[in-house]
Amino acid sequence: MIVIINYQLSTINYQLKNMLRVESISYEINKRYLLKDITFSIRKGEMVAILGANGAGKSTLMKILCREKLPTEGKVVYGGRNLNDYTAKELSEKRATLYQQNAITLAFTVEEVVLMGRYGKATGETGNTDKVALRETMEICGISHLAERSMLTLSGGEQQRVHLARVLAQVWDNTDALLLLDEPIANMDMLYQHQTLAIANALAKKGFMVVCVLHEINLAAQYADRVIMLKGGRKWWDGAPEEVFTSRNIFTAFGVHTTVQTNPRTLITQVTPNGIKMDAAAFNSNFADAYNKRSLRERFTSYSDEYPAKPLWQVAETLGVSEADLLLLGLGESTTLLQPNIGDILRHIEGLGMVEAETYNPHCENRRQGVYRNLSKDGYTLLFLGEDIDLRIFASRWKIALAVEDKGKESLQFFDDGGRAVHKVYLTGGSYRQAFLDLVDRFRAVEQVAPVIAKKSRQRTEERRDADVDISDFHRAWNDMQDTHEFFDLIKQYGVSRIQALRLAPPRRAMQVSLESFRRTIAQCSEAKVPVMMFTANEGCVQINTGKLDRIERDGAWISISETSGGQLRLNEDAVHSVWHVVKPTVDGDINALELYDAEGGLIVQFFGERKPGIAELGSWREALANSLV
Amino acid sequence: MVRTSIIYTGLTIGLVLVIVFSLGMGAMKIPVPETLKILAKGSGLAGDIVVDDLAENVLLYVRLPRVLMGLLVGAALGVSGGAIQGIFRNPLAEPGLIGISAGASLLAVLIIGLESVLFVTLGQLLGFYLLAFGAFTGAGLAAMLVYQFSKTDGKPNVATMLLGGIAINALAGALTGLVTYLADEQQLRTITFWMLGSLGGANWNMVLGIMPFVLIPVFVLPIYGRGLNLFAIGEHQAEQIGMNPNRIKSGVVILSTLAVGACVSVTGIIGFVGLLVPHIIRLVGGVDHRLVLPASALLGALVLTLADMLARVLAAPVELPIGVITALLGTPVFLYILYKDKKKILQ
Repeated sequence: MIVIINYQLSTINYQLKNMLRVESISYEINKRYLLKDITFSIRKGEMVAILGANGAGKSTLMKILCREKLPTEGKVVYGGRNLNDYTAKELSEKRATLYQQNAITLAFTVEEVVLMGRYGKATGETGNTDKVALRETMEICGISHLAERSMLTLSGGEQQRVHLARVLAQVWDNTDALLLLDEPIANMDMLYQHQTLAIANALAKKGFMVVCVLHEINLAAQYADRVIMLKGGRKWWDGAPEEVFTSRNIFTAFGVHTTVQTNPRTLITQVTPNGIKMDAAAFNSNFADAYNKRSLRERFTSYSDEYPAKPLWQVAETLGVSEADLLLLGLGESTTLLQPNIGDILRHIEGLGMVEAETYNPHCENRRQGVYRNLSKDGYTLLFLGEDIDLRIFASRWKIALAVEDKGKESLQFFDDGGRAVHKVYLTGGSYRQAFLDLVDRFRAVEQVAPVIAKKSRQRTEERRDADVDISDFHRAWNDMQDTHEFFDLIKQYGVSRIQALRLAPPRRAMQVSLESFRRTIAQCSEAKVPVMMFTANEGCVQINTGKLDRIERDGAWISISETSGGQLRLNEDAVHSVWHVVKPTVDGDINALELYDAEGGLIVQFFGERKPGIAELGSWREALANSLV
Repeated sequence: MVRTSIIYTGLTIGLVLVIVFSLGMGAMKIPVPETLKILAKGSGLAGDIVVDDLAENVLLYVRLPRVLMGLLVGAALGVSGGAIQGIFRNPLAEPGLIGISAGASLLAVLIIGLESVLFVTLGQLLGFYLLAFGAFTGAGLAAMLVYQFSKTDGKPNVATMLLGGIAINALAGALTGLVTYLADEQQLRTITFWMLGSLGGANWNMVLGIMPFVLIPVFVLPIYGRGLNLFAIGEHQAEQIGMNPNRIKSGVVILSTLAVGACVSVTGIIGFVGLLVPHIIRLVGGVDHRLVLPASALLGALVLTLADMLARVLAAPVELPIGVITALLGTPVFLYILYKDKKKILQ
């Protein structure tokens, strides 16, 4: 019993004797705390890596551990005694430090330097143990072949290895030494970096206590048993690498976004930084000239690298060109120029099968999958009157036709003469790809040369002065409308802009309502499953999406309205300047619509209840409108 | 690199030869066998050999003290040079850097210039030794000033010592210049010859006087050999291996000051020896201070005795100032070393 207790006590004693305990140390200088209240302990056989951002206090902590500086508060207990109580000689037998900078100005040979590690030993002459230690440490550090060379002729990494050998030689006879390594692998190549840390790890397993300050997270994860992360002079994390190294912790400590994975087989944690992209144009305004002279392609590539999620038309706007210009950069590779025989091309689209139609303006996108059926003509307008794809096409505006292949997705894209997109047709899984290839072949422009696109700003027609408009006449004309389509002719006839027309509309024909009413209306439609028609227009095309509203989702300022048949409308609510409830009379009764306008008076999107000519307006739509108008 | 045993052997043989020849050279030539006989008689080995009386007197009372002086001074300069280069970690350092020579010459020049005015009492007390005493004090004061000024956090700082030394050198130079300007013809000559250094007028009193100041550093400084080795890889590193860098710094500065101060006080300023002698040893035997310091003492003694021999012989019966000889010989050697073996010595 007594024997057991004695043994346990002696084990504890042994443990205590071989422990390094740091108790609440702080280091203050000039009223600044470089270290605040650090506490941890290290056992025999452990390799601890200390990490942290620059200025976190790693070097100061190391200096305190090797007694170069004294803590202003707290104490370090080593082997049961206060670190201060040791004499330099005693301490030199128990611990060795490898510094980051070991400058040598005199031409010592490598052997001489390594032997200096043994100077602390009693004998003045080089004894046998010294020689053995010399040979073994030089072999481990891979410098045996450099024994007679002068230090001044070695590279930085080689010199550092010599100093490592010296440090190891110092504690060669000690089985429980403390090894302090301050950024030991800074100048070494990959092999020696790993080798040094492997040596340190092996020595730890043999019984040493190893503390090293490292900058390389992955090497610390691979070789250290334990990691202590410092931030701002305090100890933030202390534990095994897989515990301490999480994306969140690393971001807190270093400010870098990383991906952290643990290899399930080896259990080694791997930290991969996500990289930081900076645009050189932002650095120095003097460089802006050179930047602007860069080709469009370079600017496009670097911009889209930086902002991979931005839509093409936004990128084009930022770079000061049109969307077609950017796509034409890929002419011959991913883009093929087609002859602008719009009518002919459109006739062939039905043959493509199930495709996705997309029409958008800067504030609203409209998408629907379907087959382009029932092509017809009405004056200057081409129409597709399919169940899914319902388009009004102002063909005279369609000037440029391109076939585009982007990340495996093929499409036909159409632009006006300013390079702005009017309509896009995307192939889907259900499309007949061969028909598409045939179409492209058939309509391929003979000369694949990018057409010159004039920079045109969106036209703003001058509004006639309100006073110049014959109001009563206008009102009468409005009320005499037989069909909603006549509205367009009406405003043309009277020379008013759309929003001006709404302003001058007859009483109770156009009322401005709030965005909230719009939201409530569509919310109600979505609940009551009211079939709705959503008209999205740009200068060349109007796409009508008809169906029962399904989900309404918000993503920042954009709302996504999807309907049960698969179509989707995305709308930028921030861009909505005014919402109007417009009433247009027809032979089938009054038709109510919600129209959303932007700050320039441009129409963003219109909402109608589902109807076909000859059928009155849906009661449920009217009801939804009536209930929601606030 | 040549083995240390060969170096020591070579140096010892060379030293003996130089001593013997130097004793024989001069305005009065004493052939070597006669020299040996006189030495044997004088040391009591062969009591009743017949020797020429005049030769005996010259040898024993003029030449021997002079040669011994040369040996002592040379050894002191050599070993101090090596030690100072060790603590400055720079093979281009020399004791003058910490102001020893400047302080010594300043006080010596002050004494020469203002003796009749300021140091009258002291002059009467010390008589002939006033100059020596003054030089020694000046050396000590300057070095102490530089050393104390360099202390940061209570520890002497080598870089600051260098800067302090530069300052003291500049100050001493300025004041020396002032006194020189005010001096009369006779004083001017004395100042000049003092500044150029000379072993002339050496007698047994002087030799015995400086002997402790030289022998102690010559034997104690090499003990700092290991410490200076460690010093070369860094003060912090030296501490971690168990050495106390502050003791090394203090020890070297004090002992060097003693040695060089004493020498300067009796011979005036002799340059180049402290700078070049350790260099040559390093080139031949490596940079280990345990070799460089003792070997520099031997080589310094050899070189200075040789230089003194040349000083007496080249323009006999006129004696050239020894400082001139060491500078004339030393500069080409120095340049040659710099040109040829840069990498071996300095990074």
